[in-house]
Amino acid sequence: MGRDRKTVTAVDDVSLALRPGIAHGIVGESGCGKSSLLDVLAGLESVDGGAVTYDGRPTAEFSRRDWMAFRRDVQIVFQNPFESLDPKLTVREAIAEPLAVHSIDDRHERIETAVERVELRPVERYLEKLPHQLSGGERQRVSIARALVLEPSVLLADEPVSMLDVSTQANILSMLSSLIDELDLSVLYVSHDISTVGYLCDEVSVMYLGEVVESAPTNRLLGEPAHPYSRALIDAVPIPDPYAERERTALVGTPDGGGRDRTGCLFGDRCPDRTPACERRPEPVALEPTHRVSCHLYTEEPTDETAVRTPVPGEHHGGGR
Amino acid sequence: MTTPLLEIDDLTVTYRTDAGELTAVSDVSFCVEANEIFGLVGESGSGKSTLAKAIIGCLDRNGRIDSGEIRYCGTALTSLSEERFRREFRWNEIAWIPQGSMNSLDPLERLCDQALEIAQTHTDHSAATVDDRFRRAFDAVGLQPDRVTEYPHQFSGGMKQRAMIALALLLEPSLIIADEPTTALDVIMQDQVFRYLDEIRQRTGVGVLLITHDLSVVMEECANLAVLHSGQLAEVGPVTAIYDAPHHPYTRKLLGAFPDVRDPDAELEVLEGHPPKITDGGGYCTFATRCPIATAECETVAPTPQQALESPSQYHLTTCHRSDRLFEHGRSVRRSR
Ligand SMILES: Nc1ncnc2c1ncn2[C@@H]1O[C@H](COP(=O)(O)OP(=O)(O)O)[C@@H](O)[C@H]1O
Ligand SMILES: [Mg+2]
Repeated sequence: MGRDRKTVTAVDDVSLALRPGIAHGIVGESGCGKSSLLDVLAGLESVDGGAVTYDGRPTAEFSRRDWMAFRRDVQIVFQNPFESLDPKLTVREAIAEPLAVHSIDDRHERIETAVERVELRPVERYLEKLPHQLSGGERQRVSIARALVLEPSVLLADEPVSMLDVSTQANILSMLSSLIDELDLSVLYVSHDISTVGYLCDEVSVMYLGEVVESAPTNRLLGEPAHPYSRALIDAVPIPDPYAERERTALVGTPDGGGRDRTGCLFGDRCPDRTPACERRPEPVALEPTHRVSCHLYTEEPTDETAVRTPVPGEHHGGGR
Repeated sequence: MTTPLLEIDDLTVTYRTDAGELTAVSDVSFCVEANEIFGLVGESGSGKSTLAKAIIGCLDRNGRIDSGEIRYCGTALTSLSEERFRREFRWNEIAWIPQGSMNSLDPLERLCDQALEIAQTHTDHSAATVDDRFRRAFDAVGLQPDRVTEYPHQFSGGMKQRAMIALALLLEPSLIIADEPTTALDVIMQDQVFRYLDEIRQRTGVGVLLITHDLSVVMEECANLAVLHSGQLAEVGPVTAIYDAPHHPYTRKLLGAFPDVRDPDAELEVLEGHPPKITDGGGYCTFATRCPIATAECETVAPTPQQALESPSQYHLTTCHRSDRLFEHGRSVRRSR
């Protein structure tokens, strides 16, 4: 039925569009601004510069009714299934809550469908359970059912599997992956672990201190990461193979150090490939139509005296320097 | 043969619960050598933390060691009084980094004061010696030595975790038990923590029992590993031997369940269900209800560890009635990369 494109702009220099049936991953270390981005997109935080557009309209112009519709159509799944469910509510009550908030009827059927969708079977056995009677993976399934019961078109997921066992992670990821196809969901998936992002997402944006420094289709980003920060994130992932010879990350420290106030590249202080050019903030460059990176390694101007300049065809060089 | 640093010998640990007696660790045996990082893996609830607490003599009050022995450099810890263990072994010989410990640092006490307290309980070092050692331990884990005077809340999660490791190193133990030391950290921080831990091992020869649910981490950091499922030891051996030819269906499934950045399109193995809680004394394979090749025998007889067929290592054991079958089918399972 072709829902409108949901283009979303938030935080500082983040541009991304969420499209039906597509999962978009956001990766970065803790403290990179991933969760703030999610809060802005969810309308929980106000936009600071830029705009979030939803169905073609900026959320800033929303009326109360628009917000109501937005809150129904855009759902969030949080990181910690141990905290996000009320310990006193049964599965049925927890999933009924959003329906009540939005005054939706025929609850019984909707609740059952939602529980069925997250593969908690037999459904009747789960409906009357309390969170403490469920495993971590089951709780996260309930959180997902709670988000799906309103039949949203957008799902924002904040590290939904990071607290779970890896065996459970695989279950939840493969379930999410089929739900995206089946329900034509637009998904934003936030994580520090690029290997789970690689499994679920079609495209990825790498975020550093509130800015997207690189974005590309997942396989391209994993195969040919351009930004030194993207490479660091990939290199740091342990490989389940004792013969693999992975080098440890060369990055030291954490993303903070007052980087936001700098005029230069935000990653400059930790970057292994730093040059004097990095004193200036890099502009995004398109390496491919769908692969964009903000890093001086890829800008065309000479980066400093020692940088080798590739002559651009047809460019006329005047008489020496 | 020299005596191993740590021997777990046929250990069984139970908890008294409302639902009856829960067997959390069941007839488990393995050894950790000096200068090695030994991995203990399994899903949540498989008994990893219980095992760690049994070693350190810190079981919850409703828990007890039913049978078996734990030996440290040949000394049976299980027959020492709690008092003697605490005085002679805790921290000086065996340091424990409990699960979630970075959140259990006392927020109201400066880190150097916490270090001093530990040192004074277990040694007669002077305050100056302790301070000097703690600063050096900070340096070893990549923290600025001057920051020993700060409070835990001034540190990020990863820094707190490294401060915990520094505390563990303070009295120069021969064995560190690290329970999920990086589970709450992002991948960069995790990699940094392991870099320091490994450097320390190379320099001091400390043995590390690394407890984690992340098999990828174990494949990279450890020489040997043990896989637990509902308190039973499924498989133990060198990581390469187990990776090349897993001899237990659980290990095989676990190995396939991990996403690999080198191959993002690979299908992940799905493990249905969870490790069951054993409240009937056991006497069967705890993996039977989840196992694709279980037979009636698996549900009625507890398997005992067997030498893994055709394994290059004589320390590669599997606890599976069906491992010969599995091995026949799995001869060519080694994933080609
Ligand atoms: N104090 C306790 N009382 C009763 N059961 C417990 C207690 N501590 C742990 N258990 C149970 O023992 C089993 C093993 O737990 P644990 O050792 O924490 O596993 P892991 O560290 O592998 O997640 C689980 O079934 C858990 O619920
Ligand atoms: Mg544990």
